[in-house]
Amino acid sequence: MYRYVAGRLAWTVFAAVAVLSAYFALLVLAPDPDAAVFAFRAAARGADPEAAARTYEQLRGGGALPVRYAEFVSNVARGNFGWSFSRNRPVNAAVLDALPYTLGYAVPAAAFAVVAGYAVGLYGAFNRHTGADRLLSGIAFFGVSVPNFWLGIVCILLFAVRAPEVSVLGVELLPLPSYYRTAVVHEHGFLSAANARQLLLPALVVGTGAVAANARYARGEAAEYVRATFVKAARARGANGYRAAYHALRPALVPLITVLLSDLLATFLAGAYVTEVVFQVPGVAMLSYEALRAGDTPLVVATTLLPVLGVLLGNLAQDIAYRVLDPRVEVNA
Amino acid sequence: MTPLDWLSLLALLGIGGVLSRLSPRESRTYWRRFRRDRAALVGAAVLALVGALGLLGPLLAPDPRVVPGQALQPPLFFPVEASVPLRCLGETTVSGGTRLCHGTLAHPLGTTGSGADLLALVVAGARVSLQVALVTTAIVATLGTLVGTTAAYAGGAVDELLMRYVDLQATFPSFFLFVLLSYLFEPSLFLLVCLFGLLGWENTARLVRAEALQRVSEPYVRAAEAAGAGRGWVLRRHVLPNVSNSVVVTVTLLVPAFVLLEASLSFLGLTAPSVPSWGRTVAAGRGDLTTAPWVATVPGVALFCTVLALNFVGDGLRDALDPREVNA
Repeated sequence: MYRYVAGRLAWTVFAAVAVLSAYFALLVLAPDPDAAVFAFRAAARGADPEAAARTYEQLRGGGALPVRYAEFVSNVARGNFGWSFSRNRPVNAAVLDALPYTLGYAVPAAAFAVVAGYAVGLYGAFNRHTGADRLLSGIAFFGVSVPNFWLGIVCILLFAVRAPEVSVLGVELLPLPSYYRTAVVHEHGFLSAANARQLLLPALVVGTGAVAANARYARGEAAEYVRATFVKAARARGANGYRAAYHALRPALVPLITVLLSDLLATFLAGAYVTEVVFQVPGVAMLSYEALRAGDTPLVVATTLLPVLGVLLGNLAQDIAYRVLDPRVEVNA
Repeated sequence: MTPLDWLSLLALLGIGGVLSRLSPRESRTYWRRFRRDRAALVGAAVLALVGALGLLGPLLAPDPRVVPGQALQPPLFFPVEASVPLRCLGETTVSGGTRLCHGTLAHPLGTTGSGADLLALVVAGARVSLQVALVTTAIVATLGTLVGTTAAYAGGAVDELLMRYVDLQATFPSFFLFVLLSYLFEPSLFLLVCLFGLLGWENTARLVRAEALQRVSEPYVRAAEAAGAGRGWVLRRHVLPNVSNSVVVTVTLLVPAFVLLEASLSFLGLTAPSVPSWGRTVAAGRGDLTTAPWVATVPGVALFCTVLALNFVGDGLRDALDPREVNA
């Protein structure tokens, strides 16, 4: 077991170094924006020109390529991403400040996607080719096909811009706020109903694609076990539908976790990126988007590198979970 | 013709060439199975329409040009308050005290905030999506098959090396790499589409390798080798025809994702501004969401329908090509 974990860990480190090398190569090969232009843009945005110049040195500065490469890797390893001149503060601080806003809708959306997705998938697997299964499969097709950014815009139109005013028992249900306002957090706090209201639509949009993808995978995996003898045996002993579904879910969980932590995590993050931009949630993706607009390379590098490293860690967790959940797996490290 | 047009044409010819290798009996069987799936048939019809628009688009509709004087015209049957467009080109009516501006036949889907005709933009966007789909299909199918069969047939160190690289590519969420790449280089659509393909073939290679490994140890391959067949012959004659279904299955899963990826990058404003992608038009409509919702919704409908159709056709193909389903 330890050998296996050590092997996967070594692979993760190797993959991370490969990713860093690719990013470094892109940065070196990128057409060099003239240093003067860089400083001018920094000054125009009210940033500290000296700090901007230091960042410029860090990114393109002198020194032999191997030295710069070693510096880049060690900086990232120590979690030092440099200075963001568009925000006029360290990149780390900017990212850490933005992170709660992203987690605020992404965590509920992910939890909802797993629970609802697996429930729908299991239901479909146990009731294959019935009307309800067809309907749910159709909705799942819709969910995986709809572009997140467009669904977000349609939701804003339907539930915010053109929604009628609906309130139940004095609680205003519609219209929902169309764009995220940080003032709400300052006024009511992060864990308030008002903040939940404005995070509802982003969570819904990000969740839709993920629920659909989870449901499709879960239906496919669980279908293999619906007619398995152990499920039949459980039913014969008097297990009800839920209990039987649990019997099918347990072996299906192993392959499901595999897709969940690698493939789905990657699409989830990409979907969240555009959704956040649509709803203007001031999270990490919005930070990244504004950095793209401002030409703030250090911030762009950090915000596009961190999700990739996150997915690598997800892969590591997946490999270990695979081993823990399915004792039959004998993978040579 | 741009380089991308040539590449798309080449991809189209390649895909057509592969399809023409099917025997009439095979194509009849597949068609009979495919046709039972009504959703897949509708999807195929939608794709045929998008394909026709993409191919003949430049002949059918003029280039979407920016004409400030005709900004924000509403679509047909969608009258808006006359204050929304600067100058209403259609007829205006008065109902309930407000003046309404109606759409004109000249711009059946309305116009954008900069005055470009939305129908022309939808047609131009069809070409972009078609090119993304064609070129990525060709690249992913070719590379995936090549690497997968090579790894399976060569075995040993070559197999190990290739599959390790595949593992590496698989752990890498390419969306963020493309965001950085687009930011640093502002690549052309040509380069972007090639990179989608070059970094997207790992699952195809894995599945092809697994399939080919099974085939390589089949008695008929041993027999062919005993009869003096070379590697090339075995690969071409026995392995390739047997792995082609796996290739189709993985590629149909990938292509809708590539179309969405291109649209997302365009939506973020990361692709060349001259490329009239649907994603870019949706982004352009965000500013006028309250007054002119059609600008952001119309190209989105086109994108959504195309991706949905690709998924339906992919699902139908997967079922039709499933060898386990015999004579059903």
